[in-house]
Amino acid sequence: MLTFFILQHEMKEKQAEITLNDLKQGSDRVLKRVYEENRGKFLNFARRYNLSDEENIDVYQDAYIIFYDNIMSGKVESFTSSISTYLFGIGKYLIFDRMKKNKKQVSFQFDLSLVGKEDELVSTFEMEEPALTPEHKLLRKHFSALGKQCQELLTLFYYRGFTIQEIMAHADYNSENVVKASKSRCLKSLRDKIQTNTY
Amino acid sequence: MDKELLLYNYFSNQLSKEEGQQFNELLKTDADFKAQFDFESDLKRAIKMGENEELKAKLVGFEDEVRTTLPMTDAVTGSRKRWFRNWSIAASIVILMGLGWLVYNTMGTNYDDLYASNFEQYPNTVYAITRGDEGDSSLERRAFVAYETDENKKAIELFEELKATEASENVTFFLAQSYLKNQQPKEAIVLLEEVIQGKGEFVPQALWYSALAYLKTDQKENAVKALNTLIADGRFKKEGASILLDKVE
Repeated sequence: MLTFFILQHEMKEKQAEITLNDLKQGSDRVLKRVYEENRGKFLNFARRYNLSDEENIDVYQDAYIIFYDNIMSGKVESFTSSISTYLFGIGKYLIFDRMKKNKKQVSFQFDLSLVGKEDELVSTFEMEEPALTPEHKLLRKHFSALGKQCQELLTLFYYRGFTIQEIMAHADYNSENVVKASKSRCLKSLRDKIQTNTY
Repeated sequence: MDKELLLYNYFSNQLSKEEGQQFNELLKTDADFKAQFDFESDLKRAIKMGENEELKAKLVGFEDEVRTTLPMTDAVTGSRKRWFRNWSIAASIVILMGLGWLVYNTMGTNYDDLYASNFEQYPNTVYAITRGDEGDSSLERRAFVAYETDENKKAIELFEELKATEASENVTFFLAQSYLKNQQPKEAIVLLEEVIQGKGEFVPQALWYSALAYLKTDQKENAVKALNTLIADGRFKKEGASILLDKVE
């Protein structure tokens, strides 16, 4: 049995910490590892509130997405705490929000006030999105109709927050000017598609 | 002034303070600039929406994989995921589960498991702990902070002190909760019975938790009695109580 523990310990040692950069690169392997490593901790944390296990899993996934979005938008410049602490902070917000919407169990004074370092940690995060307008939906539709290269370039720039230089290195462009020209061309193409469709 | 550069710097979070001022000024005065900014902002949002949908689909896929590789009880708690990865340990657990199954079937219902799978601490619905209230060092605040941060022994100590000075149904109930969290069901039972006798707001909750505490201490009859009363009351965990009652009986 002792061998098992030593083996286990060695395996843990070999599993390097996930960095912010790993997450920004967003490979499926990293995304999955983060999901699995924090899932149990999160569900144990969430069980103290009055949602079902299924709801808690849904909240975990939503918290994960919000965490990821805030990394992409540059809100998290470096990890000042463990990933699970960020997820707890967001999760707590989402759980209280759901409990409020479900009007669950809380018949008397119930305050959404929070305590703990995880709340401070995510206090500047964007948690809720305003409702999508018809323009967003139209853009989404036409964006999906763009060529793969345009979709990738625009996603790298607008979602992943890559600079022109980073896009050049990432996607094998010859020069910064080529990236800039491609970006303008992609935006124009998108505009044209929308206009053709609208009028 | 290069308007394109301003937009580029804005969307790559690189606007200097001075550029920020120019940027805001242009938004107010230059309609074309504003239109281009709106277009790119909307596009950013649309891309984000697509990426979020894609990520959600991936997470649902990961979840399915977790559930197929873990037994259901652990798929829900999931905290031992990595243990199961190690085949040798997984094998030991399978053997243990097999033994557990044998014990379960030869000894009858395992009340400890029923307790463990049903116990979830009751959230603090009584005392509002607000940020910026750190100056408030009242006993009540300290007790609920300890409760919420799972410092169970400290919570017990503080709620006991509070109960001695200004007893109320809330304090008794959350003291009982703290004992339950600290694996002291016998102490919790006395307090929960006190809440039930008081006929106040927390009676249904107290019935549920007393049923669990009775199970934990192998007092089947008392647990059944509490569950029946709770089902008849119907205000809290009615469905959960029926399911638990079936399992107990």
